[in-house]
Amino acid sequence: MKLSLPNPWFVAIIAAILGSLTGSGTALLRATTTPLRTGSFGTRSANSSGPRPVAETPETTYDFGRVSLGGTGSHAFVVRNAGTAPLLITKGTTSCTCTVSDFEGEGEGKNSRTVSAGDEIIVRIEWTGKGEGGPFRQRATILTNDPDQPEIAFAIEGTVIPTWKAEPNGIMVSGISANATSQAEVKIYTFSDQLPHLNNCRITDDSFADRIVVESRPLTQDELQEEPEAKGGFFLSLDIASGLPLGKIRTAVEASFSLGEEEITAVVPIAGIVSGDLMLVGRKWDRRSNALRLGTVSGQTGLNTKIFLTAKGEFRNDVQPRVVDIVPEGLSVKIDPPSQIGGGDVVRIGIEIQIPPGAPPANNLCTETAKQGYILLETGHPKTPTLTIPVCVAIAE
Amino acid sequence: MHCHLQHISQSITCRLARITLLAIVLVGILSVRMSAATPDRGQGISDTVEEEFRQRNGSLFTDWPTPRAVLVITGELDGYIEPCGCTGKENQKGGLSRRQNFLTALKSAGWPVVAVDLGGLVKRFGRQAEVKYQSIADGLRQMGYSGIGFGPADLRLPAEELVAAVAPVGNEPTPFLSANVGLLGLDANITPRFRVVEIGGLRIGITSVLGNSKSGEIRNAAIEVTAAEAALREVVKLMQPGLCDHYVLLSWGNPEEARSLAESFPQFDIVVTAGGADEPPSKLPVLENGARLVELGHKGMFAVTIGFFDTKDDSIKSQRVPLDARWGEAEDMIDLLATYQRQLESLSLEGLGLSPVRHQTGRRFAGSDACGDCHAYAYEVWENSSHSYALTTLEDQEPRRDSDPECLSCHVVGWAPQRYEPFEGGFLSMQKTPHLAHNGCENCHGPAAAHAAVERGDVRASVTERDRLREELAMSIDTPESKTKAISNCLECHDLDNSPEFDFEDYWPSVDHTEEVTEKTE
Repeated sequence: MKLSLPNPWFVAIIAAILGSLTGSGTALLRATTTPLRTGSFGTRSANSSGPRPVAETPETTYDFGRVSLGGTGSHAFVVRNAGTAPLLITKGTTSCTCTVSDFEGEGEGKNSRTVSAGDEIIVRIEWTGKGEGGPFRQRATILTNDPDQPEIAFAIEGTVIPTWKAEPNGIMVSGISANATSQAEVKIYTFSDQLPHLNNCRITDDSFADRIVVESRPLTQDELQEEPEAKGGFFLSLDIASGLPLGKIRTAVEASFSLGEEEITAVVPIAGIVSGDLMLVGRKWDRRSNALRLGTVSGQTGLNTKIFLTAKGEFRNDVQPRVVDIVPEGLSVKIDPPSQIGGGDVVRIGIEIQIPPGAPPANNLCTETAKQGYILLETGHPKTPTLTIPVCVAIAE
Repeated sequence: MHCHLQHISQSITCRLARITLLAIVLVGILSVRMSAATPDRGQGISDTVEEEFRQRNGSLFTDWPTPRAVLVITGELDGYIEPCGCTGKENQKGGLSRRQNFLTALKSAGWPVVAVDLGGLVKRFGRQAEVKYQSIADGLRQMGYSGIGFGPADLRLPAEELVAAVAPVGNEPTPFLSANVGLLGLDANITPRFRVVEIGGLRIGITSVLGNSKSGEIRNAAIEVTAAEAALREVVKLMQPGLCDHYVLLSWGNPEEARSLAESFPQFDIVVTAGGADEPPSKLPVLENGARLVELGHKGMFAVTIGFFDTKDDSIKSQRVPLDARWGEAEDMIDLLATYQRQLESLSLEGLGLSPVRHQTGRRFAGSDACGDCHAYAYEVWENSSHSYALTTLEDQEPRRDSDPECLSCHVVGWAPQRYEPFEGGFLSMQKTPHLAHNGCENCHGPAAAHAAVERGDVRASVTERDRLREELAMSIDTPESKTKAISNCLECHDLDNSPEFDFEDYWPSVDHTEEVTEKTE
C-alpha cells in the first residue's frame, strides 16, 4: 500500500510550530514559575507607559573612615522618588553588624514607608565596629516597588581600629631541631594615642619557661609604620634553647601592659614540633605509622615516586645517604645530590623510588602475615649513621 | 513510502522544507539553552528559597549572556569549611559544600569554568589545622581547581604536612602553585610556578605570590620564600607575554602591595589581593592600567566570578556571589566533612596535641550538678535553658561534632572558648568527665571545685577563706562595670561567627537566675 505524504510546506509549518514550542516552552515555564517579586509587591507591570515609581539614590556607599572596636556610627542615605507613582520601600536584610534604623521623614511605619512622587526619605544605617579590627565593609538592603530597582543595597566601609594586635597572631616554630637553638619574634601593636607601658612578659607554661627566654623592647618608628594606625607597641624576641624534648610544643607568651588606666594582657600562642635532625617528607610517607606506603603495585606498569630526606642541625652538610639494602628486591632507589633550601638551614635530598615494569612479585604490605619491607641507608650523620625507611608494598604479577 | 520519498527528495520544494525544518529545530534548541543560561541556584533548590535569598543577598548575573568562560575566584577560607557560624546555617554564608554546588550550577548552565583560590585555607595552627588543611586541599581538588596559592597561615604548618597535602596525586598535577614559595625549595618543583589553562577557547595564565609584607611571618626553614617582584619577573618571562588572553595574579599581601605589583606587571589584567574588608565590594575597582583588583572578603563567604565575553565594549563582567543557602549542599563535600570529623574523633584530644592548660585562677571544675546542690533556683533556670544540652546539639548534628575542639570549647565546661583547648580539670570526654558536659555554670562563674568542696564540708576552711571563694565566683549586672564584664564573658562564645544576632538584653531573660544566696547551715 502506498503512503502519501502531505504537502512539504505543510510539513515545514508544523515543524516551525513544534520547534518553537519545544524551545520557548522551557523559557515560558521558567518565567511563570519564578515570581519576579513576592510579598506585598506586585509583579512587573506589563504597561510601562503609565505612572510608575522611580527610586533615586545620590549615593549608595559611605566611607566612615576609622572607628574604634566597639564604636558605633550611622549614616543617612537619601532615597528620592523621581517617578510619577508612589514609591513603597521596605527594610530588607543586613550584613552581620549593621542595621537599618526606622525611616526618617514624613509618614509612619517602622519597616515600610510610602514616598510620594517628588518626595524623599532618609534611610539611616547604623553599625558597630566588631571583629578583629582592620578593613570593614557591610551591606544593608531596602526593597522597593520600582520595577527597575527592586532592591537597593547600601554599603558602609571603613577601618575598625582594635585596642591591640599581635603580628603574627600566633608563633609557629616548625621543624625545630632538638640539637639546635631557634628564634622567633612577635610585634604587639597598640592603637591608642596613649603609649603602652609593659609590666611583665612571660611564657605561660612552666615546663617551657626555662627553655624559652623572652626579651622585649619598644617598637621603632620604622616598625610602627609597618602597621597602619599603630601608635605604640613592643617587640618581643624569643630565644628557644636546644635540648627540647622531641614532640610538640604548645605554650604561649603573655605580655601584660598598661594603656592609660586600662590593664591589658596580650596572649600569643606558641606551637611547634621538635624533631630529630633527619626527617622524611612526601605524599606517600605516612607520618602516623612512620612508613612509606606504596600500596599494591601492578608488576606490569610499575611505579615511580619520590620522597625527600631533610637534614638540619650542625651536621646537616655531612648527610650524604647511600643505599645499603632494599627489600623487596623489585624496588630500586636513586638518591639525588643534597641541595640547600633557602638560607641553608635545611638540606634536602630527593629519594626516587622505582618499581620497574616486570619487577618480581612480592608481598610486604605490613600486615600480620606480610612483613614490611625497608630501604636501609647509611647517612653520614655522626649521631644517626644509618636510617631504615620501612616500606609497605605489594608487587602483583 | 520509500518510493514517494525518493520522488519528493528530488523536488526543490522538499529540500527547502527540510532546511526550514532543521533551522526551526535548531532555533528551538538554542532557545532552550538560552532559557537555562543563568545559574541562579543549586540543583533542587525551590523558587521560594531562591527568591528569599535573592531578596536577602542580591540578584546574580543580571543581564549576563552566556560567557565564553568564567573565572571563579575564592580565597581566605580561614578554616571555615562550613558556613560562617554554626547557628542557623541557612542564615550564614560560605562553606565548601555550597561552593561545590555553585560551581556545579555554573557548569550545568553550560558555562565553561576555571576556578582559582588565593590560599589561606586555614587560620590557626596545630594538629587540627593540619588535618583540616588536608581535608580542604582534597575538597578543592575534587572541585577541579586549577590554581591555589598559599597564605601565611598555611605556611606555618609543618612542611611535611604541606607536602603531603599539595603534592601531585598519581598522574594528576597539583592545583597548588606559587611563583615565590617553594616547599622544600623552589627547585624541588613540588608545586609549579604558574599554569596556563585553556577554557572556552581562551588561554588564562595563573600564578600566585606571597607578598613581601607576609614573608617575614614564615619561620619555616624547609620552605623557601623569595622576593615577590623578582620572582614574578622570572615567571612572567616563562609565561610568555602574548601567549594568554588573560593573566591572573593571586597576591597574598595587602591591597597596597597588590596595586604596586599590578603597576609593575601590567600584563596581569586580574589581580586578586588579600587583606581587604570582611565582604568584597559590589563592583571591582579598575586600576589605572586597566587591571581589575579583586577582594574576596573573609571566611570564604563569597566567590567572585569574572565572565569573559565576545563583545568588544563589555568583554569582562564581574559578579560577587554570596555562598548562601540558595546553592544547597553538595553530598560529596558533606562526606568530606564527615571524614574530617571522624579523623578528629580517632585522633582524640591527645592525638590533636591538646593537653589541659592551667586556668588563670589555678582552680579546677566541679560540674553544674555540684552547683545545683545549693543553688537550686539557678540550677533549675539552667536546666531549662539551651545551655544545659549544649553538648547534645553537637552529638545531634550530621555529621556529629562532639569530637571537634573548635565546637567543644563552647559546648562543655572548662575550656578556653577562643583558644579551643581544655583547662586543667575541664571536660575531656563523656567517658571520663560526664559531669562536665554541656555549657554549665562555671563557664561564666569560674571553676568552682574548691568552693563546692568547702561548702560540702569536704575541706575545712576558715570563714574568711570560705567567703573569699564565694566572692570569687559571684557575678552581678548591677553596675556598668560588672555588666560589661558579664557581657564580655557571654561574647567569648556568643561571638560574631556563632551568634551574630546576640544582644545581651534580648538573651539575658532566658538565663536570668538572679537569686539571694542563702547561708548553708553548719
